[in-house]
Amino acid sequence: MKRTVLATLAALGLSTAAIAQDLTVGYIYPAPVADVGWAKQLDLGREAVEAAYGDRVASVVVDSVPEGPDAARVMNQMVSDGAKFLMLGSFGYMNDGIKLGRKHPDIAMIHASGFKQTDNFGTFTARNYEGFYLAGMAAGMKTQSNVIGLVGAFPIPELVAEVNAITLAAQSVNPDVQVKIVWINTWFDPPKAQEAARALVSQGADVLFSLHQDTPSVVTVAENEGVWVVNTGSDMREYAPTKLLVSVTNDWTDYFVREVV
Amino acid sequence: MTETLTFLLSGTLLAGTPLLIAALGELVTEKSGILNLSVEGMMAVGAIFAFMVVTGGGSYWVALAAGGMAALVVAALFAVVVIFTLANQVAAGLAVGILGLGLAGLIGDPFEAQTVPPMPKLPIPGLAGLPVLGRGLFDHVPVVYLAPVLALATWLMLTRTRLGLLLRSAGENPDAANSIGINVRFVRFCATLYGGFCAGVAGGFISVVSATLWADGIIAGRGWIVVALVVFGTWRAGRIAIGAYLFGLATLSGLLVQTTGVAIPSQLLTSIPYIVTIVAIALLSMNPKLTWLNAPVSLGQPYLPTK
Amino acid sequence: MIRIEPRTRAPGLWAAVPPVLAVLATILASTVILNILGVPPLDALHYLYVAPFSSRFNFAEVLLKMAPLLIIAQALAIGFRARIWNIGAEGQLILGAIGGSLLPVAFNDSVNPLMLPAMAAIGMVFGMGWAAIAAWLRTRFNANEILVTLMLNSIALQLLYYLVSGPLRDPYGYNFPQSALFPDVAMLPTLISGTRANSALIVALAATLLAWGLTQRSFVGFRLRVGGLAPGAARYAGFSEHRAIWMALLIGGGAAGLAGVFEVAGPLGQLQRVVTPGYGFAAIIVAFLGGLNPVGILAASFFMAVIYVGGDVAQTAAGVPHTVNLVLQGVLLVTYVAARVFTDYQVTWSQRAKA
Repeated sequence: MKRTVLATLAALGLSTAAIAQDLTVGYIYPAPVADVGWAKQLDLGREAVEAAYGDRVASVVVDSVPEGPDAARVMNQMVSDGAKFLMLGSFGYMNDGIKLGRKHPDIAMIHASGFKQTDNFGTFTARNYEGFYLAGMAAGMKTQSNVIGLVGAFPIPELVAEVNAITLAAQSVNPDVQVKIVWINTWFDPPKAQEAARALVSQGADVLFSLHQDTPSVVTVAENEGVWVVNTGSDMREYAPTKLLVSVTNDWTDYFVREVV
Repeated sequence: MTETLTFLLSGTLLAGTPLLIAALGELVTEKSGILNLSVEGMMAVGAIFAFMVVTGGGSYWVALAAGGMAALVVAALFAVVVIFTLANQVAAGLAVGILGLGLAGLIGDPFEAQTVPPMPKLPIPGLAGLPVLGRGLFDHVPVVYLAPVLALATWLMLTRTRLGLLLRSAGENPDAANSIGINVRFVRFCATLYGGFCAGVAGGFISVVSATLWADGIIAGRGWIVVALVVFGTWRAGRIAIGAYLFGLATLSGLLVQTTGVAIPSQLLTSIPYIVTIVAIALLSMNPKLTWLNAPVSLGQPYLPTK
Repeated sequence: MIRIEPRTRAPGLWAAVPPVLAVLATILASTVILNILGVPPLDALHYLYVAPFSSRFNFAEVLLKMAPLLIIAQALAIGFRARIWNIGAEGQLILGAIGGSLLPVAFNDSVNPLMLPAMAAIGMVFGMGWAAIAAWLRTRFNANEILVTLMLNSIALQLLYYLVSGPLRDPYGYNFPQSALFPDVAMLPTLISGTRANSALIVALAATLLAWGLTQRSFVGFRLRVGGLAPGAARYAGFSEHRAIWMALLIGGGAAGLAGVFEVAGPLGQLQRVVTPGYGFAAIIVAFLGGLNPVGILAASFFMAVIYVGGDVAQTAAGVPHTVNLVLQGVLLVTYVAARVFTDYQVTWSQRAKA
């Protein structure tokens, strides 16, 4: 179940008439690029850009950049190395990105999941909640215990929207459904995500949602416990061959290719 | 309700096992007089090496042993630095810990977010069929059953054998031990290596048995909990075992409370195991007989044999 | 064979051996590791050790990184010398950031120039308060401060998450877990225009002077040092162990709290979920690397900042994984503590067989 992304982008600082012969594009991810996960999906976007523009585009990629004061340094380094277009892959890079944009009006940036825009700083996000609405309906139909369990990292707006979507959707097809949520308060602790998943299963959940867990932690628990699972980000079919209900993935490829123009 | 109990029992055992194994190793190390704060790094090294073995087709037992050996090497570095160059143990422990974490992350980079199939469980015949208790306590991978056995064995070794006496004398009064011919440095060296091995097995358990995946940072601070557990357990194996399982229980309970939808902030629930640990350590430390009777007198102090 | 004996005289030139060896070992290790990762040695040396000085922005980043490390390490070293192990600087920093954020969030439109000093004071008090918990538990219950401060780190982080998700959250921030941006009066003045280096550095240098004065020239410092070197003698002389514990932890907590204020009033400009990239722990390393000595710490914090910035450059320019930074820091500190044997002890080569 793929959802293509819808962009909200203000006018680019780069005029479209002057397409650089060699455009260096910088990509900054908050997590390591692995086989699956948030960073992987963004990276697939990068591959699409390279495939579309071939030699005219050069890429610089830095992953595992933590939000906070270090991010600005990496951004600056990329710009001084010649990058003219930056893809900032995490909400926490927003303020630093805007400051950078003010210092360098000749570069352009797109930023994931933010809410501020300037002339050369645009945001993009995915209406994941639409995908989760559909997934929620599927879950509502599939559940036999009428309990759906969600494992989430932090209660930030994007995830809260998804939780609401899932709940409303599931209840629209199955009014008796109960949705239980566990927030593990860390982006990164796969064993804890698994414990949360097992806790939900013990409370009767027979469909689990893995909200933005970058590793297949919850997905493998679902497979082992024999419950259905929906996950975010990448297609995790190979981790749960029999029990993956749906993956709400992000396909940034078309969007990135359009924006680099 | 029964599902909840089963979950709590089985989850507690699963969460507590690596903590217990590593803590028992650290106990032996500390009893000999060495304070090893690098547990987090050693566990991480153990985790990645065990993971690499399983990914490469090796058996789980070989993987755990490999993890143990890898961590043992890290512990050896620590041991040389604190025993032979007499470095400050707190600083050296932190240093080796960071080094271990970094190396594990570096080596593990190509394996990020990969998974392995789960280790086959070994239900204990007869007992596994019991309601609630059966699935909770007796339907686990063999390593989980071995952990309390290891606790018992460690206690026996420390209190009833000559080896234990050697260890304890090296920790209590190295000068006296030296004067009766015990090679204190060698005893401490071996004890530190053993502690490293245990930490490595524990780390391997987390990556290949319990989480069945590898990711940078998977140990997530549990190494420090291990160090706390030894103090919490007042340097006695049995109490350490209780502490390890209690900590697991506290973490799981927090998660469980969230599922009931009670309006307690999740951050508070996440903090509870740590608050409980602090309170417990405070209460236990208050009674010097309880605590310090068992703490090795020369813990953390460098020893230079004078002849 | 090699004989090691406690030193009876001052180490003299031997004192330079550990830092020099450590730096050399780190440079060697970095070249080797980067080579394995596919980066030629000269490039590696350039990225890690030259690039941080190669541009105004980069050098300012070194200064920016150095300031919190310096402030915290100076304070921690005072405690470490007294063998009081405050491992909780990370949590105390977070508390300081929280405390420092209260005024700017409550008075978001203010133009009162007293805001920044007030923030600093409040942040320090918060940091001290957090450390005080450990001090109280140690003096009243004999609870090991290593463990208590460590646990308090985790709790501080959860507290931060709770506050930025709720009570301190920006009402116009679309529900994102962060506070409103601070008004200009709450921000640290920039030191070098066009960069992020701010006046935290000046405070850090002042802290260095203070630390030097305290440890080398004051009776308080003397008492603390004796307490660490010879606890029995200190007790006999009537130096209060409890007072030492309180002082050491409060100084550490206050400094970490101040560093926390400088983070939110500096590069961050608001309170958010990530206020420290591990400064609390890095400062512990810096303190040891500096030999627990104010001047040494000044040098060590500078070198650590260079490694951090160089590591980021290597990551951006050559795709080197960020874990390399940790490995290098580990090599640096391990070599240093091992090489200390040359300063703390007399290492001789003797021809005699062991008696």
